[in-house]
Amino acid sequence: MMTIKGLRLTGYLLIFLLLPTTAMAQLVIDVDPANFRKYPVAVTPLKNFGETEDTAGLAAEGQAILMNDLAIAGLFEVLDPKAFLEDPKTSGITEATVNFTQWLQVGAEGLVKGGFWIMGDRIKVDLRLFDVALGREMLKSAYERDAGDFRRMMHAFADEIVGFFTKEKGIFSTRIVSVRRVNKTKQIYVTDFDGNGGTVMVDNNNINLLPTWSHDGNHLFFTSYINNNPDLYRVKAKPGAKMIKVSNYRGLNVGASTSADGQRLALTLSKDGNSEIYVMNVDGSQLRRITHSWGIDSSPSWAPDSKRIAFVSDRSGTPQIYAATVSGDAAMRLTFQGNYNQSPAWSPRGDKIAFCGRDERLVFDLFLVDPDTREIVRLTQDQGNNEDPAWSPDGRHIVFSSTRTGESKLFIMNADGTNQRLITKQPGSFSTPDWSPRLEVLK
Amino acid sequence: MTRISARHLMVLLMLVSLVVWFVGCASKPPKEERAAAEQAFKTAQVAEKCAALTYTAAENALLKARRLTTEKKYDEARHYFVVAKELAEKARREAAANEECMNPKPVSAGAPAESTESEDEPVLTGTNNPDFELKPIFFPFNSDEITEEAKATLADISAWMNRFPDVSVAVEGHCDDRGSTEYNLALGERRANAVRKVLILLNVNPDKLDIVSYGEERPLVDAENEEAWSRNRRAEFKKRWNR
Repeated sequence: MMTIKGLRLTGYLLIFLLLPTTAMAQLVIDVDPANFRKYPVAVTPLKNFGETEDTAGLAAEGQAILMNDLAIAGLFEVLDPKAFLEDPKTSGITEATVNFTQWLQVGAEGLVKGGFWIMGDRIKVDLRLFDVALGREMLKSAYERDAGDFRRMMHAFADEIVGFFTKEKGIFSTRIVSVRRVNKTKQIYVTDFDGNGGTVMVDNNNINLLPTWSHDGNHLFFTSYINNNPDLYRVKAKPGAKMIKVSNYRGLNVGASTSADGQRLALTLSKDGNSEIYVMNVDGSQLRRITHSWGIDSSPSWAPDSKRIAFVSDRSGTPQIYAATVSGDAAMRLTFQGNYNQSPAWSPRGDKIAFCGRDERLVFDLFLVDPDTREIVRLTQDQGNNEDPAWSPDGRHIVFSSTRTGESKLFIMNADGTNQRLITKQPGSFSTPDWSPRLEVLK
Repeated sequence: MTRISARHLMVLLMLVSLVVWFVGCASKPPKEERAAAEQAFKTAQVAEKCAALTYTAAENALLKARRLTTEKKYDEARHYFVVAKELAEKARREAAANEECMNPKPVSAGAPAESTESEDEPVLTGTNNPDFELKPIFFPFNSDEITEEAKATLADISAWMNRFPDVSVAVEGHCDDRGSTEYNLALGERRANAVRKVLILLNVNPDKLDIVSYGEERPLVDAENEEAWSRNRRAEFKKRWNR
């Protein structure tokens, strides 16, 4: 059974196998991206099994959320429901009540189905994934939560589906923090990773900048001018939470980046008369200076090993991406093309650093640089200015800001630049996003 | 190697003789130097508009020298009188070289006459007004270079600040919105710092100068074009009276 499943799936998912178990590893024969084909999957509307009428349209909403998540994952070809042959009235959500031949005919190889019960303020859901060719249920999850958590239950199942295929859960239970401009002020704003559920976290009628998540997703760090100097603050990731001062040296206290082990913050301070990179404990103690150059040093981003930091420096005359160890060894220059490279973001997998570069046409676009080989890959082109890259916790996706539709909005894409899509659904101008770690939203 | 040593020796000798000279003159009011400086400064008035930066530097040096004289710090005062004289002469030479400015096309009537002129202090048009408007200065792309035009503005601001010791100024560094938020915060800081340094060179008391960077967060012109960007790359000056 395991072998059959493995054989069937590896054909599609070879390159996504992050940490193959020994059993799976033997099946990974040919890791050639050119051979990768997306796994065709159909998602049906959910069935209402309860007594209460579905006035909110959960049947269609659940289907839409699952379809969107799977499309974003980049592993699946999500089939258009218009082509479905099945009669939703007569079919069920179990092996015995699904006509798999009909699904084979529409080209589905995976099938996602589910049902729900509305029980006052609570909703119960039952969600399943089938292998169409085998006619077999591969995954099943049931949740019961407050009605307000309906989207989260769908995201949780999408996480399970991705986890089933890749051994690593999806990133659908995550959120994105960014800066939203409202007239002359800037708010700290959080949405789900897909742009839904917009929440103003900090709004003090002043300028608030460069928000980042703590390593566990419980807190946000950001810089605010509320005290007339760009000081660094921390808040619980809840609307209207109390601002706690972390660093208020004279001059800049900006761009906090939390190490993956959650122990330390890297940030830019200018207290010594020039902007330099420093590392401190998350409570602000044990400050240590990392860079020593006459030029601008800013925008630190931790490597996942919590030992190295990528940053921007114009010590060569133009802003370029560098990497240094926290122990203070000599910094190494990574970018040599272009004369305006900024905003490094070290992938959680460690093998790539995303950054923003200005090309010969003076347009800002996103690139990757390999910190070892210094090889550059371009991710965006001919679509407005694209800036501020930040990685999803699994290192498969990048969120960024783009002016391609006019005002600056947030977009996500796969780490290879494919599958670019707008996520911002709210009015206003959005910038400097940061992607949360996986959040245990259904706990 | 020996040549370098010889040069070092010469420099040392010069330094020693300078010190001897200073010691020799200690604690006498620098009357001659003062007269020379005042005379040079008066002659250089023509340079106020046409070599503004150097003229203001001369003026600041003179003001400082006078203050030091009152405080009976004669050695320092003597130094500043000499500096003031040299700067005043330099300003006059610069002005003479600036023909376009020295022979302007006729414009409207001159500035209103000053009635509060005292014997000791020359008239300081514009910058003797406490409400003197502190105009922003502008920068090239990705640069903290102080342009010639900006230097003239800073000369005025320094003159005004030296005239009113009760005022402090916050220098705000700003950028256009191209490039990252973080880099622009650092660039704005660098611009504000560059301005602060020039003002200190112009004898402004460093304690009276604060700096803050707003990066790209407070544009003067909210638009995406060359004109807007060039207006947004600037330093602004905010007054604060410590009365």
